[in-house]
Amino acid sequence: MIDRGRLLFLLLAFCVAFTACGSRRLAREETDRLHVVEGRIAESERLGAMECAPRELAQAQGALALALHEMSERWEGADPPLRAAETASADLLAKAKACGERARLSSRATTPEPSPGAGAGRDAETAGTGSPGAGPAVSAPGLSLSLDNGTIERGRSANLYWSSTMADNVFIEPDIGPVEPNGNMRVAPDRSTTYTVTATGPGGSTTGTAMLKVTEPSPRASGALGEPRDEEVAASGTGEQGTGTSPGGGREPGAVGTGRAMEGESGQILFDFDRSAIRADAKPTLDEVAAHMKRNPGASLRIEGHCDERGTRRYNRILGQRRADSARDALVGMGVPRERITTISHGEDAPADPGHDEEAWAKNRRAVFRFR
Amino acid sequence: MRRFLPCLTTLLLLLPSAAWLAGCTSAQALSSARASLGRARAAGAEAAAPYDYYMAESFLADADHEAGEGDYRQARVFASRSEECSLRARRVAEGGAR
Repeated sequence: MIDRGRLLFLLLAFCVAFTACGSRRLAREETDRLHVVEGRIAESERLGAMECAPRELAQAQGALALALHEMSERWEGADPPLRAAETASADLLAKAKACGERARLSSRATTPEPSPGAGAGRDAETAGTGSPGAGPAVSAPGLSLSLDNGTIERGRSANLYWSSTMADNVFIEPDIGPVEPNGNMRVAPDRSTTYTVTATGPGGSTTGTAMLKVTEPSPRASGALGEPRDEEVAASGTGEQGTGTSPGGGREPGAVGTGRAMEGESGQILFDFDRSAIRADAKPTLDEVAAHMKRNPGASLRIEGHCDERGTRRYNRILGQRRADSARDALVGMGVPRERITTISHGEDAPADPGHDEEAWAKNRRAVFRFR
Repeated sequence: MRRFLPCLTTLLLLLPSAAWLAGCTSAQALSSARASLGRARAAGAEAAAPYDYYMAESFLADADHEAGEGDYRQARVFASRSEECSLRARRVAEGGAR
């Protein structure tokens, strides 16, 4: 028979554990929501929001900055700014899509006969033009399909984003099936896969493809350019590998972002425990990143700072920011203009390795470079 | 207890003063950021460099929010970001390089 004191103690312990689990779940949910917001902003930037919706873009980024800060301060207070960021990013994406659609329509109007077979290679947007016979009154569905990372290691995952306009049915193959007109999904295929999305509407149907290349896992500790891990890319939307195929064929003049070399390729450097000083083994990666930035004056770079799971969430946010800032300062010292680099901290929320040992922690103490 | 009384009194007097000072510096940063934004607007940055201009506006709103919540340190951070964006926008509007 358990005495009353012990029973009370057990009840109290249960309550504490329940509350802790609840708070952790909330934290993860909010991190996921944050990633969705970041994905929308990245998608909008790809669609040309900087030119066509600068106000909305700035508002969404401002709201995101505030939400990030609130999340690093206290989870329970993060909901209102996060909700504001979600609304702002949804507005932004809607406007960016409308702009993209307008650009497409106007380019179609000024390009009577697009050259056939030139659909592949649009790096910013995947879209089709619908059935060739569709008149201006009923437009074919607009479609955009992208991956936040074109190459992953086996066992990792990538985010697949799609959005469509004027479509009644949207279908993604293989293995996914019918989906909402707009959304995103995490995919982790075993082998290289080409995702095909088909949007069908009153104006016809449009098809788009995006290829996800799956490589064998490598034991590399410090990443070279080109193979980010899935957690690193979760917060960012750059580097999609979409290739557009449309019934009309042809690369549309209005497509955004063509000709940006190395977009989305990334690298990472590792840090010592509780330190933000640049290690000697990071130099080759930094040299490579600096060289890329100098070769591509139009490119910008985002540096994401990460930490291992030890320490408080707030401390890790700050430490992650210090790591990202150190990497930025090192690049600025190598001659990369500071205004082309932005930094962000994910703290402990996006580990590269979910393990709980020193090996995993060593991989998680990192700064990730993402070209945009 | 009597030995600690002067320390306690000093502490009680110092704490509000520190809070008041923090509030003052953040208010200063905010008003400086607001003035910078005004100058950028006057230079025509809203049309010439809309992204930077609206970014400055957003950060200023964030700074206001944080100051309202009493997080003066973060308010200063946002205000300084706003000022940076305003300066960049103004530079572009006045014909300087981006």
